[in-house]
Amino acid sequence: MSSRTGPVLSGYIFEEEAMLSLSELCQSCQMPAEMLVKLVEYGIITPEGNAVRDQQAHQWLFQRSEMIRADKAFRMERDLGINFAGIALVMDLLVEVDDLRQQVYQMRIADQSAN
Amino acid sequence: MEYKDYYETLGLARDASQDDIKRAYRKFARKYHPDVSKEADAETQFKAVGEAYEVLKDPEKREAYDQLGANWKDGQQGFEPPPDWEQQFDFGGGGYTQGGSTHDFSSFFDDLFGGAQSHGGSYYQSSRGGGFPSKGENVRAKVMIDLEDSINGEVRSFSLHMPEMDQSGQMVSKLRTLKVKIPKGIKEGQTIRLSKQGNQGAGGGERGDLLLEVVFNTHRLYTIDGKDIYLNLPVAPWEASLGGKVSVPTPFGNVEMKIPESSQQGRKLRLKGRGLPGKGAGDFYVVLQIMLPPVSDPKVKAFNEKMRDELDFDPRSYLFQGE
Repeated sequence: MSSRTGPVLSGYIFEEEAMLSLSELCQSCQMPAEMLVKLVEYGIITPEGNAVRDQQAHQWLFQRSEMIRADKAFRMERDLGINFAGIALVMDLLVEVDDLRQQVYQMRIADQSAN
Repeated sequence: MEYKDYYETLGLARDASQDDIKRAYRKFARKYHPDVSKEADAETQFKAVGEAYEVLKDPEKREAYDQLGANWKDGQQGFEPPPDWEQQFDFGGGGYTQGGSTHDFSSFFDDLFGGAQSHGGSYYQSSRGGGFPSKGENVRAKVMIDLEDSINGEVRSFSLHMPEMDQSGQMVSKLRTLKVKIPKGIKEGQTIRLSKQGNQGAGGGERGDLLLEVVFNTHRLYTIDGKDIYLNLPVAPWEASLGGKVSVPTPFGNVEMKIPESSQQGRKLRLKGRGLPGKGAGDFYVVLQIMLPPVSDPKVKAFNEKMRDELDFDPRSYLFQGE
């Protein structure tokens, strides 16, 4: 296929691209709408603003990062057999763990340069 | 080909029960699942565990595998399945394994049980979609870049194992080298999307996308928090006390910075807009770290003794208020 001399590919920052409607999210994730609605109900993915309360599902708009979350959720369900409530909890905890790791790392760096 | 000890992969004895196997698989799947695990080689480990489970969970495949296992050590050079293997156990053609869950298994697995039919690819893909013309699946991978790559929008080369269709229509893993222009200002954890660089579509559908999740290499000087960049700046006690100008390295070149008078340890000074560029550009922070000159130097010792004797300074007075 491509080689070392291949062209330079220009990428986009995925998370900053235009938001997705529910049907576009279905397409990009290759998941049925029912599954995505379930993910919204469990708070695993969230449409922008107060959309869940005020709007119909067809008006929802999702940040691109939600697509990555939906994919992760799908894989956790498939590979680990976690149910949706469990996935929501795992994802929250993972975010927290990442934050803590970052803090520990920052503190270590500060310690190193102080000594 | 190399023999794979599936029992060892799952940490099991050869007489493990089907329940033991399920338990061991669940344990390792949790440990190495790439979405959950922080282990460096999680993805490889997870695949190995999945492959072992695919064989051992199925009593028929397990029996077949056990028969091989009894004498696999005879020919240490490499492993060949016995000539009558396919007749005894009909695993050829790939139809036996569940498409999708077996992609990227080892050649050992493929030779014994047949390759996965369609849906080849990296672990990250999920096997969805049906038999109609459909867009190829997105492929995901993690890439390491330097802070400077994000700041300057450099071109970086990445070598990735990507699934490709070979002439016979089998999915094989191929090493592809891609040159990618890093989008300026990308943060750690964000994803670079390369349009139509993912899997081939089925039935004339277009290619999927390649999604590269960005992780920054540890930097010698800076730490990065979202769009902001931090530098711990060592200063002498008198610089912190009296203030003054110091030269500070930033990713955009050296700058002169003014340290305000009476700066305490850990004081944060901000250079606005000198963090990661782009939408909502970040800031550059200097965090002061007061460094003491070594008291083994007699001059330093004398200075400190002089301060002790002549200054009226108690940094702990507030601890005992109210007593």
